[in-house]
Amino acid sequence: MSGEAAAGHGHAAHGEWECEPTPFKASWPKVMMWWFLIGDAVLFGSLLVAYGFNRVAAPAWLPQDKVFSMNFITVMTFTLITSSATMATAVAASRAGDRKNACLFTMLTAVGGIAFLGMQVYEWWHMIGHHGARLTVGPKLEGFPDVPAFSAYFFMITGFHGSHVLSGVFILLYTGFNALRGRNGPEGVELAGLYWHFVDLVWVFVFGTYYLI
Amino acid sequence: MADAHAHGHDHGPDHSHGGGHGHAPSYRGYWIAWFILLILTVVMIKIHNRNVLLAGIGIKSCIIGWWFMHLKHEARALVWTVVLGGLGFVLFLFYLMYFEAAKAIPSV
Repeated sequence: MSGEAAAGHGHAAHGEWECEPTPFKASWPKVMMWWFLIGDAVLFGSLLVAYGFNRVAAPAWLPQDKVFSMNFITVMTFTLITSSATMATAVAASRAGDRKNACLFTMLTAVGGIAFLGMQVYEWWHMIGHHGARLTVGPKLEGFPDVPAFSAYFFMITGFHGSHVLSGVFILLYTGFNALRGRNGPEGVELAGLYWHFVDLVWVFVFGTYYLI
Repeated sequence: MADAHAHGHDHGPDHSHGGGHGHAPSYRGYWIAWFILLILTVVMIKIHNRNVLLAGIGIKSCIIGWWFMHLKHEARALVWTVVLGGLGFVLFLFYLMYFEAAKAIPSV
């Protein structure tokens, strides 16, 4: 905010964030959210690239379909994709001034996130309890060597993604309640939606590169 | 397209003006995108081929970014910032990694 504008209109006293237009023809909160997501994308990208390098350099790797139930992972993926669609619907409802549906679909999205987290907890429990995997010990599979990197990348990548899902669920619950009470406008729901779609986008890469390739 | 919207207004896939209130919302476009994403997921699992998987990842991420995250309605400068800043950098990292790995491991 320019000092002249602040002095002239006294917006700061009312807690408003009056700014000059951004070079991207979008509001500053939205631009800031995009910049945060770019930074986060680079972080996830670095993790996946490091995984890729280790995967290529490793003398042996474990077959994913022997360690994980691919049907289960597919259900996890479907859940996250569906929650993305409900989030997009919530954003559209919010823009149309339909507070009830904006809240309903935001909450449905949060439920999808909770379901995904529950499945991820089961997946971790299965890896640790059933396969005996640890951060430095690979899952035990008969006829296959110990590959510690397999576990390390599993826990790091899915754990980092899961923490995003968890914080996303809290953001969605808060945004949903506020949308119903009319405390935040369409942009509040949209910003929460951007974050949630990003979480889904990252899962597309995790699912494709870690579980399938 | 996007450059015409000077105040950060976005539009849903079936909205002519998303910033306003009182429009009857149509969610059809989002659910069509959802259905395409499900189909692509099944295709990626069933056709277990590396090229298909990479193409699937690319198409799915484009659908999510372009359609769900509304990049299609944003200013071109923002779209390029996102594409080059996020995806471009990751591809650059991948490029470095691939040739580094190729040097270290002749079979790559």
